[in-house]
Amino acid sequence: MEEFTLFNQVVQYILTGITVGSIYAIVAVGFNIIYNATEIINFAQGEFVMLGGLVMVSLVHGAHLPMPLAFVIAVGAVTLIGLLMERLAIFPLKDVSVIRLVIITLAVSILIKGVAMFVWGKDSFGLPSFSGHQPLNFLGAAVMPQTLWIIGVTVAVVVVLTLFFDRTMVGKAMIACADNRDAASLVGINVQRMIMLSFMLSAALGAVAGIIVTPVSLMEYDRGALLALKGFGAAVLGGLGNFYGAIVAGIVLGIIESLSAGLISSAYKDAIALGVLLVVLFVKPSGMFGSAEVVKLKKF
Amino acid sequence: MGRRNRIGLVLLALFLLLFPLIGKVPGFSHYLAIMTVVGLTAMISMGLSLLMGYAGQISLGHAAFYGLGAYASGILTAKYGLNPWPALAAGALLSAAMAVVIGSPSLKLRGHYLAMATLAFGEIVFIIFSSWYQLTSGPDGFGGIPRLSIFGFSFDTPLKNYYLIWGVALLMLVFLLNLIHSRVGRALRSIHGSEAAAMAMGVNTAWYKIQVFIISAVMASIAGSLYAHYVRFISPSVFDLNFSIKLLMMVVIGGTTNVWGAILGAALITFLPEWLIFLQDFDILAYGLILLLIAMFLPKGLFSLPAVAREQVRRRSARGAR
Amino acid sequence: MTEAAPNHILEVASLTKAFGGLVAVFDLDFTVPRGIIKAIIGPNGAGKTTLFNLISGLHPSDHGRIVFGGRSIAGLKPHQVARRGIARTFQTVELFREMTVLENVMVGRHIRSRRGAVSLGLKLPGTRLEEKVIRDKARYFLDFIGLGRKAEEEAGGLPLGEQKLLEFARAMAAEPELLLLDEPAAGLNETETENAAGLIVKARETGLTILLVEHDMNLVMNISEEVMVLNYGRKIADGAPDQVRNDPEVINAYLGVDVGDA
Repeated sequence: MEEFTLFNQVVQYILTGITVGSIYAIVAVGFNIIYNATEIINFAQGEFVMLGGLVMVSLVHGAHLPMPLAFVIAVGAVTLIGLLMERLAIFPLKDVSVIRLVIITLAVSILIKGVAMFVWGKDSFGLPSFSGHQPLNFLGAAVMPQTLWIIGVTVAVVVVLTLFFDRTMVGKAMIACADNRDAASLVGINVQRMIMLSFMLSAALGAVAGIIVTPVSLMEYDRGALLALKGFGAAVLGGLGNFYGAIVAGIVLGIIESLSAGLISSAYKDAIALGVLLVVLFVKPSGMFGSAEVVKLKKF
Repeated sequence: MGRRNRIGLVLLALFLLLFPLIGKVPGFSHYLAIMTVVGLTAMISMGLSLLMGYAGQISLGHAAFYGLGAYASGILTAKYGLNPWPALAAGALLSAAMAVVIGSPSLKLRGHYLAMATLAFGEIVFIIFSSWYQLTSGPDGFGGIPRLSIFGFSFDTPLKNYYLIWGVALLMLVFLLNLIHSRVGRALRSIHGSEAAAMAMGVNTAWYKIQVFIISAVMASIAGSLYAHYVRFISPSVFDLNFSIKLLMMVVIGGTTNVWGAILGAALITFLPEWLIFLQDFDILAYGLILLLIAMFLPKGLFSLPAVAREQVRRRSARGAR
Repeated sequence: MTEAAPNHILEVASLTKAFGGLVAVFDLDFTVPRGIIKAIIGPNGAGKTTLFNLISGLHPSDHGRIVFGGRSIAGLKPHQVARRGIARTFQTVELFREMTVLENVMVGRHIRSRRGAVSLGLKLPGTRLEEKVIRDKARYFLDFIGLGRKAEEEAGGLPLGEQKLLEFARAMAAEPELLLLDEPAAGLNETETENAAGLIVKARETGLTILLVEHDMNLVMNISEEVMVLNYGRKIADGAPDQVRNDPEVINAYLGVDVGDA
């Protein structure tokens, strides 16, 4: 019988951390996309994740659709909600003060949570693992196949987004908007449309994150807030607006949380993860990879 | 403080004095208890409106200060036998200290960062309330918190607690009204108007922002202590994110730069579950919708409704005249 | 650098400030004698407002000294600079729009009053008197610029010309020793500009030293005793108006722009 040593344990925690961290990373990227296009922090980001998971649950368990089809429909549905949010709550605004935007995105997140509670109730729901339950062995730690899916999808997301922002006209237009909105509109980029797209893209990303994590940790109607906070923590840790920074920071945050849960106390793991956010905000708000000058120049 | 405010104070005091009579009306006996809670939440929302309206800062974690006051008072009196008044002071001191620790670095941040920092702070405090079993008895909470008393006079009935709590709330209101119509109030409003100009006029904006944050935290803490001695049993569930959001709603609904609005907001939000009782758990849907609508269409809160309505009428008649 | 002459209220030496790669102010040396009106002119982007921001503490300088009244003020925060006796107006009028006209000027009295939150909230003895003094003094400065009748109006509703006057009154209410005026005549018509010029001179007669950034050459030439010209962050001329007006380097910098009646 193999011994489960401290080393094995730590490997286990790190793997869990990478898994959880991947979700934070995707949420963080979602924050960054909207922030880059609009300088808005979307408090409803976490709700997109929650919706992705729960809609998928309904499609798979309720409508008995095959997983791949359900995946596409679920992501599409949440993307639509992101679009609705932008059109109805963001686009009509004329005076865009910070407090107002915070309150509005907060209100939308409450609304979405309320609707979710209405539709799905307060129970937790699960999804079957994408490819079976047989755990694999890695350095003495048990790895669920879903973990590989999560990491794999995260990598795929990174690759797709990189290609999108580097190679497609739309992607480059969004980057231009983020860099200098006035210049972008002067060269003919429809800024309003870019903003709309950024919300849709963020919603889609959130949905993907929710779908891939539900088989591992279930999903319920009020998971959004904590996810949003940690995702935001990852975004700030990586330098707000910094795409690769968010990925790295998300994984780092996940590992810190997982190690804390395992080695210190699982009751306080969330407090520690949030504590990291506070420390970053207080000590170096520009994050690991951001620049302090840029932070000062940004409007918000 | 201006004649309007004085009249408002007198009217409010009169209204509060007579309100308990409504308890005699059948079917409304529980209104006294609700109104007492309104008094407690008004203390917090007034401080929050000072923070949001005048310092232009946003806090999504003020439930934590309410909780710190409640738990400090509860633990020191119920578990360690300390006299309630020093315990209340200790809670206030703790909250002030936390406000400095969280506030000083946060107030250098702008807008969203502060919102997130206070949100994180609120969540951390809530987790500690729920998890530090030895000190707080965890999620189940604890009871046995003694009543408040002054010089042998014990606040042992709901009615006495009602008058005590509203008495304190009114004193706080007077304090704030004095403050707002003073040099400090103008300094705060100037920060809100143009931070660069305020600084150029010698206003130490960082110092004022932290002062306001501390005042709002201490007000919430005192409210928390009074709450603990009123209900005599506390558990973490009261001091969660939902409550922080409700506090935010009170200020937004009432109008952020209006202390009276904060009181109105507190009353509306506290009575809302009573009127929305048919919605049961789905009241959060209503909250989200109300918050969204007000933030979108009445950003200055309900108090601005007459002004906004007048403006709409003026615009329509101008269009009609063409 | 020689011992500070007692009649120079402001001395700037080797002042440099860059924003990223852009040098806004470079190796600036100049002094401001007490009691004069000195103008700073130069093409757009020459660094004039940056200079004001450096003096008033909004930006830290990269290098150099700023000495006010014999004491260094480099590195001080804006409110500390204000307490030392420097007040300013802004190029983009920075009024407290939702406060009344009188309240705006009363904020100018902030450094001339002392009561804090606790004593004001509790309305301790003495607070009422201090408030009366603040109000009376503010009214005095409001009358000085001629806006007394609009005391209770909302500041944001004033026309631009009056807004600029209000900002001026607010700065004067602080009873500073040095007043920095950033483009006081920008956006004003001829009558308003004349009025402003008159007020600036009147202010100087109360003992103030005035440093102003301006583009209106007539105003500059008419009321200034000294004129300094900046171009690309460097000083290219500094002296009496006529001297500067005829300086070939200055004319060159302004190529094509009318320099007074030259």
